[in-house]
Amino acid sequence: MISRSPIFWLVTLYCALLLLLGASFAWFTVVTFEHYTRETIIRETAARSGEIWVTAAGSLDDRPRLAQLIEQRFAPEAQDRFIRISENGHFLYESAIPAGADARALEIRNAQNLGNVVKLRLGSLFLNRRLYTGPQGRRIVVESGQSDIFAQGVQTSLMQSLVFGLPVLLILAAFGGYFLMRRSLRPIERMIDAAEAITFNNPGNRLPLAETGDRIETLGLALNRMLDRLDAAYQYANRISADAAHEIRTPLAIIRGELEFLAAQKHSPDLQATLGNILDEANRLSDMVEKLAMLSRMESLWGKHAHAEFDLAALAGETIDQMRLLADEKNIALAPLQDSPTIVTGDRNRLKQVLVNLLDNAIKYTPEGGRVTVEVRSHANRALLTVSDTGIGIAPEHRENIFDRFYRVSTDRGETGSGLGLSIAKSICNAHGGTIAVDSTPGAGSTFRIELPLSTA
Amino acid sequence: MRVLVIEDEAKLLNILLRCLNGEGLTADGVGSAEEAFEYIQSFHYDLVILDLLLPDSPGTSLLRRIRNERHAMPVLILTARSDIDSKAEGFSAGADDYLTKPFSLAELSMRVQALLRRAPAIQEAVLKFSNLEINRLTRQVRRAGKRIELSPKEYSLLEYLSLHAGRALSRSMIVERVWDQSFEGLTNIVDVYIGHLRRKIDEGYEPKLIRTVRGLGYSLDAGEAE
Repeated sequence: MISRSPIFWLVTLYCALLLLLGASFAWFTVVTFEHYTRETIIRETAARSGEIWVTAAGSLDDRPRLAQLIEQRFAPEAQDRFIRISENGHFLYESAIPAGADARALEIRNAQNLGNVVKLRLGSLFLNRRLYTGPQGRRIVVESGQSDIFAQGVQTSLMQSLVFGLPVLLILAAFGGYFLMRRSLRPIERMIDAAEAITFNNPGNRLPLAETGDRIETLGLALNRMLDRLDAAYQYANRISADAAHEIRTPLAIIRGELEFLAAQKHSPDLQATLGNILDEANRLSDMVEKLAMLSRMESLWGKHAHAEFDLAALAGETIDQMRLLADEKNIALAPLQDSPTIVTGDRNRLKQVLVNLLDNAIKYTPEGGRVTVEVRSHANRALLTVSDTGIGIAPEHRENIFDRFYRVSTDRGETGSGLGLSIAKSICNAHGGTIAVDSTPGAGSTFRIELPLSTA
Repeated sequence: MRVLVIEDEAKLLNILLRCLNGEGLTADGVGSAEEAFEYIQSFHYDLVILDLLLPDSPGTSLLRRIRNERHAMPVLILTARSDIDSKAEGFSAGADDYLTKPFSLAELSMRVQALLRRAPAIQEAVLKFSNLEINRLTRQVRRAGKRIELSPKEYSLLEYLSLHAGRALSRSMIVERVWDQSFEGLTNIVDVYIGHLRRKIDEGYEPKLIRTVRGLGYSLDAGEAE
């Protein structure tokens, strides 16, 4: 969808500008047209009065003949023309007055006083009044008029078509542009969907390409090449840590074996304690190697295991029961779960491992007499699981890093661990197409929130 | 009982041989697949311990060769790889059990004993340690004749300790057997349950049966205390 982004407002502004331009274009057109018609009419009437004089000069005293000549030649009634020939205020010929002309102004008879050539505008009528001197010094006034009523009609329809047509055209253009943009953005929408869907379980997936030959296709190709490189880098990093874990195993087995032989013999209490300490650390190292190896093969684990559908709430309930004694030991209230079935698809054992990890942490970092709460519910198409405690909390600066490998908030929290538990939890959640996040108030407690896709079947 | 150990890492081979000798077994050690095949063709072995990563050929192809020659002795695989796929590959090549490095010798000993037992172990329904009685049929526990109530987890833990009495069992071995895979690495839960178990079966009774072995784990010992 196109949101009300800056682009939206830019487009609106652009449309307004176009509308303004269109309006001024319309106004300019109408004004020019009006000016042009007027000029034409004025020129026409001037030219015509000369022709009328030539036509009429020989028949000034024969009124019917004069009328016949004029009608034949100029057909004034049919073309909104006005023709009048007068001598000393007497009309030798006068055509009908066209509609819209100012008839009263035409009553002026004493035209001799008006000079040789007069141009008048009488209502819709443009009048050219000219004085000719005929044979025997007769002073004849020829008035040639042209009504602009036709031109006005044309002007009105021109104005109408501009006023109504331009906005319609503009709106059509805007909508057309919008739909074209939507259409051309559709490949991008598909790319967004595909990009969102790429997780640890399908690192080989790529964005769909539009094959339009335009920049969008180029963008898709570039992004896909970037995904290839990221995938390769990720696999390389994975292989390195898998190899490292692998290489450490044999020397560790030797150290452990030798220590066990030593520990089995009788020693002074001091030496016995030292051996015990070293063995403890060797065990911790083994544990870490195992977890590291597990992290690096998390990707291959997924997809090859049977995916089962199961109730996350039931799994949480079962895990709570198994961990209750740990909480009881510190007098921490671990409330039983009261939730409705929430079915998800995945590796039950791995997800249980996540729960065990979170509950273990919650209990570890909650002081005696505290409370740990687990909630499972579904929201839209996601399953939500939260583990909240009333523990020491996590300072904001650590919150982003606690899911990193080997990240420890501090060494003086009095607990030992591999620093891998939460990164394993994160890997498992990611492998299930889910997320894990933390919210915490130092001194008041932390809430870990897991979101997984609900089973769609 | 004679055991062949195939491991190219000399130091680890040495440890394995010492451990097996300590269990009262006769053990031979070789460092390559070729040598191993010759030994197996020439002598009788009751058990083979095989490292999957050998210098001359993969352990799984040696294992297939052994099985093709109709040698049916149990084979325990040692490997540095713990993923399901390599386990599955080992088993399909004819392995009987599987141990991931680094392993504890106690676990190795237990697995070797289990593999050598061949026939199902005859286990008594009632296990006795000093004045502790565990009835595996009724899942009832008595100490000095008095009935002790245990939760199912506590009972499983006690049973596991008592079935391997006298051996130190590491926390991770206990987690793996008594809990499930998901609790991997969560060893503090073992300490908590051992504490509860001690309170129920050892507090107020003599001798103390549950022993902590520093660095190794816990053991149930009816014998003389140190």
